[in-house]
Amino acid sequence: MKKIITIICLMTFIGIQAQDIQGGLKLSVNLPMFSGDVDNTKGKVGYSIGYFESMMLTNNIALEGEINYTHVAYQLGQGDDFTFEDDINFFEIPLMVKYVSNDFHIGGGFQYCLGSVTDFGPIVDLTYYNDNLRFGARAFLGSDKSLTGNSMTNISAYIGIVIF
Amino acid sequence: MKKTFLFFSALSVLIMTSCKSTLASATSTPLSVTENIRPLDADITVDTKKEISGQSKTLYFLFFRLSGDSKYAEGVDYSTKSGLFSTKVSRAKAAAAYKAVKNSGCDVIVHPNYEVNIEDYVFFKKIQVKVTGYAGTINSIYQREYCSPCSDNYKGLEIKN
Repeated sequence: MKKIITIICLMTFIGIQAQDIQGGLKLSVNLPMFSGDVDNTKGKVGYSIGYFESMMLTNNIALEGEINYTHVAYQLGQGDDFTFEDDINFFEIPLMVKYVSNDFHIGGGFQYCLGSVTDFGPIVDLTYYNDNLRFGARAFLGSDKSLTGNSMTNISAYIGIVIF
Repeated sequence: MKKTFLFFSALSVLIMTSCKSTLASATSTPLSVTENIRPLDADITVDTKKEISGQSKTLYFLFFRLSGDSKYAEGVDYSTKSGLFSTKVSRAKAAAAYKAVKNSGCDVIVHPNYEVNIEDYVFFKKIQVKVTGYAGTINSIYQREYCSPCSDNYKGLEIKN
């Protein structure tokens, strides 16, 4: 949290020429990966729907915030034998600063998860902008181990559409 | 006999150790010295041909202010509803008023009209305020009623002992 505040405070010292705010909806498919500290945990393909807002602060720097509703599924077992399956739903709130180069946005920031799982960790994001469509890939590095005894890294690919 | 002795002993101990509280009332007179200041009047020249204006734009991301003005006019009544979130609008109004007064070189904005444009999103909030009004220049400030002693340029009545 302190890092987010530091990043945002730093943004205030940069010459900000705020442009129009863009917002839209996004749909993701995700594949969680688990650290393997306890037993075997294997992620299954899940999904996420969300809302995003972004603003170009300068010609090369953008700020983005999202609210996503995420479904994550996984299997538990020992060795190659997965005997237990479960899934969870939670909200993700990622906040990112993005470096913009032509149609590519390379972003980094932090994400807060709340709901069936409460987690906080860094995210990295790569997005390609094509008019009103966005195609991207993202990785969230979680640290909470209360779910299965393992920390979760959630890899996702998404498509977004700008609605305003 | 022993039982009677024990009973009265216990009773006497109970009486002697029972609580006692004494209350005494006293009236107090708060002594406060207040200063009565006679109302001040200002002689202001209003130039109705000279319309002044000032603008302020502020951008917030969540609770963080990303951009905006940092100089504000104090002591201006903006007719803004008070509340937790009205501070942001009030600050933008004060910044617009500051710009209008500073850029025109006048002392007061007469008949100010505030045009407030708020774009409220989930993560971002943009506040844009434009104030227009007439330029007012203060010629003199004086007390209207009585004074003693009075200044040389006093226009009211003077109390004579």
